[in-house]
Amino acid sequence: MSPSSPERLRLGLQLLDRQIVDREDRIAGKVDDLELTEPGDGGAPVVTAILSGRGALAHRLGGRLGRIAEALSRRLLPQETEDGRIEWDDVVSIGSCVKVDRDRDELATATVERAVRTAFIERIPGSGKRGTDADQ
Amino acid sequence: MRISELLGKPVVDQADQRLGVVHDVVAVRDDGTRLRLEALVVGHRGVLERLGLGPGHVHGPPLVHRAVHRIARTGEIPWASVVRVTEANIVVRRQDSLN
Repeated sequence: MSPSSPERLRLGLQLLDRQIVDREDRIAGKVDDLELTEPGDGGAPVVTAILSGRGALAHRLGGRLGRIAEALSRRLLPQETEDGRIEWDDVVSIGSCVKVDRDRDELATATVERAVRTAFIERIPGSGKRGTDADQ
Repeated sequence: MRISELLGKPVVDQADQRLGVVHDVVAVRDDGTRLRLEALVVGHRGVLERLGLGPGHVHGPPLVHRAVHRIARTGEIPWASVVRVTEANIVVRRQDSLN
């Protein structure tokens, strides 16, 4: 992370639901959950990954609503199977958005956006093959 | 473990006295990159906290400041005080519980 990132964070307020952008500042999903791992020495848990995408969001919602969200997304995006997981080591900075040192096309976090782009946006005449400018 | 498994979970002390629910989790950068959990933000009323209007965030006129403190009383419980995290709640040591 950059030196400008805060030293003390309130994870729910300052990290959850923030926009994720890739190394080229393109939108790459949202922070839906955080993976915590307890170190072997018995110390306090550390944040090891950002979880994003349909599975993470459904898990966070929990209960009946979470199950409905999970079922709906499975129906709409049957080809997407994995939660989007970004290693914490890939986080570059935290501010109004969370910047990661990855390319969004290699992340499984922007699945809905990718599916909409493929199914609808690219079929609109004049949209171009890839919506690279419009969605930055 | 996920942070969503902590947020909103009831916090009780070892005498099973309810202290509130987890509104947020505080983490610090311990070696420049890693984020290590430091404390749980626990209180009884969470609406203002969720809107970013909790006691730690409002520095307005004294009247507003006092009103927010009165309505949204919260406190931090160090992670070191956490005894165990279960499906139902989070148990903390009694001497570290909120007043």
